[in-house]
Amino acid sequence: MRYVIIGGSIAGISAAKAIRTKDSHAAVTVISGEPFGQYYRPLIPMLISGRKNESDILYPEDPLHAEGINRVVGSAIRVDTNTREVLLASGDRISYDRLLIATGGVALKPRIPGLDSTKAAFPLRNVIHAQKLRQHAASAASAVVIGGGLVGIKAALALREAGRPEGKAPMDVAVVEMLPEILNGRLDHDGAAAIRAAVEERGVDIHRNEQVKRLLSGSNGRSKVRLGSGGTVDADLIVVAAGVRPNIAFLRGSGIKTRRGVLVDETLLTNIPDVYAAGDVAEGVELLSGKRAVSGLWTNAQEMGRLAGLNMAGGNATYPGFLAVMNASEIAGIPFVSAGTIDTAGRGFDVAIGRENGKYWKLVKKGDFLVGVVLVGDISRAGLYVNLIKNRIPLKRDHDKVMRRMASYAQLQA
Amino acid sequence: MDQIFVKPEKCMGCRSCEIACAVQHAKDKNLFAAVLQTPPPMKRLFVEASDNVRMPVVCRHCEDAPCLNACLSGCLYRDQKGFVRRHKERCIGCWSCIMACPFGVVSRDPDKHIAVKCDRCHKLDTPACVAACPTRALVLVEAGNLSKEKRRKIVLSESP
Repeated sequence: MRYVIIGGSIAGISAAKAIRTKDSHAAVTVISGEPFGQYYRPLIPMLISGRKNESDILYPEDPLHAEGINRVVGSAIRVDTNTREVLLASGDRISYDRLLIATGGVALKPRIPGLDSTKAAFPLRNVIHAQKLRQHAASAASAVVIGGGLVGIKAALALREAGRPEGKAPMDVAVVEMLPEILNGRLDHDGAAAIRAAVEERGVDIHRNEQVKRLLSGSNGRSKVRLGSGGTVDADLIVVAAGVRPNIAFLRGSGIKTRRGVLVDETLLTNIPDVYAAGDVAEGVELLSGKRAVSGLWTNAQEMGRLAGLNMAGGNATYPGFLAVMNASEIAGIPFVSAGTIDTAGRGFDVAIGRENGKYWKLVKKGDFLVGVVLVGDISRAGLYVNLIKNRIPLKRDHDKVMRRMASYAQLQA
Repeated sequence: MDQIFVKPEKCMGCRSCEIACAVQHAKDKNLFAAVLQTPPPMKRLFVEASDNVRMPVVCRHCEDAPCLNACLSGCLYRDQKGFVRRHKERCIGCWSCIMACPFGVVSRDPDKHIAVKCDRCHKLDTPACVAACPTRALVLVEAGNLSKEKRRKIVLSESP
């Protein structure tokens, strides 16, 4: 059985491992677009700040160097589901019996006049982008980050921290966010506001309800951007962090059904037999809404990849779906965890909120089920709440304690 | 792999296990030095009580470990004995493991900004918490290849 996986990041890696676990004689080929090895993608902002270097973020043991796994560096440009072949940009063809599409996402490019012609604008999706940003950060005096999501905020803080030649002050960094608050969809309003205050305290200017209208080239080689509200902001360097879309362009004409992403069923199978999809490229089902969605979260990609791999190797695992919100992070010194339904204004949920010493939590209930959690500042035992939401475990006599942020494992067992 | 078994009916809630755990993870492994250490050493298990249950909640070193699956920096790994442990220097404090653990036994070190969890006292024959428990509410069971049911019987046979 020839297994082929397109994509060498977490979904692809997890699938390759799972296939080998289940079928120890399997021949697995992983087509990876990353020339210098497999690395932990969420760590790339740390390359900009200099907290990590390239070798720090590689897997301790390259998972694609394992027995039975053949890593091919290349880029898939077409899939022929009739002849069961993947065509690479190099002209090579790779035949498969079972195929996994795990090509992740690509950065959205907003239509902004001047953005195409500048050499100082980069997304932040891979190591090469991070390296370019790090290089430019050494000489730039200012940076604008387009988009105040997780990637944008992390990029902004990393640029503030980035290594500078002796005697040079940190660069001016501004984030331009279209919406009224940063971290939209990752935190609720109050949680995001707390993080924003901490980010601003670290010297990042955050413009909300604002857009970048166009790029302007200023005097002495210094550049600026024009904002929707009319003002200008210095921008020697631009980070485009306006979101991600599934990387599916190469599937055109393959017969594999796509909408936003590659449509998969609860076994991660596409509409074509023996062709699976997992990770940020897949469009599956969101657990709470029951609606089709693309996840874009690392932990979900890991889980999808593993289950897809098991099923490709003859297993019968079902994937119930993912939570669209399931984030953990620490930004500007503030840890937070959020999961499930977090925006609740006027939607008829039972909501409990607590504030104490700058810490903030919110718990959201619908009937007998916990459906949302936001923990900012104190994230202890976050997993208890996330587990209740993700596995749809009904609350029993413990309603009260759970909603007072006093859940304990012992009490949930009682 | 030896496994720590918890027998809630025997737990008095004395927290000897918590203290022993913190001392074992202190710079100097004695109570007096541990008490004076700043910041204080952190425990890796938690004695919890509700109206009708008291029990130490301890890391299971799960076979399909959610924390390990969620780790996005290569910090958590499974060692040769089967324990889920940390490459401390790789932890970036993203807290994915804390979000993933359904037992709530991974914590955040607020000073070092890294995740803290049970290492099963991998250098000791008997974990500090088990050795410290006066009522044998925590016991070490040689799991080996025994079935779940057999392990259960062993635990029950030790009950009074």
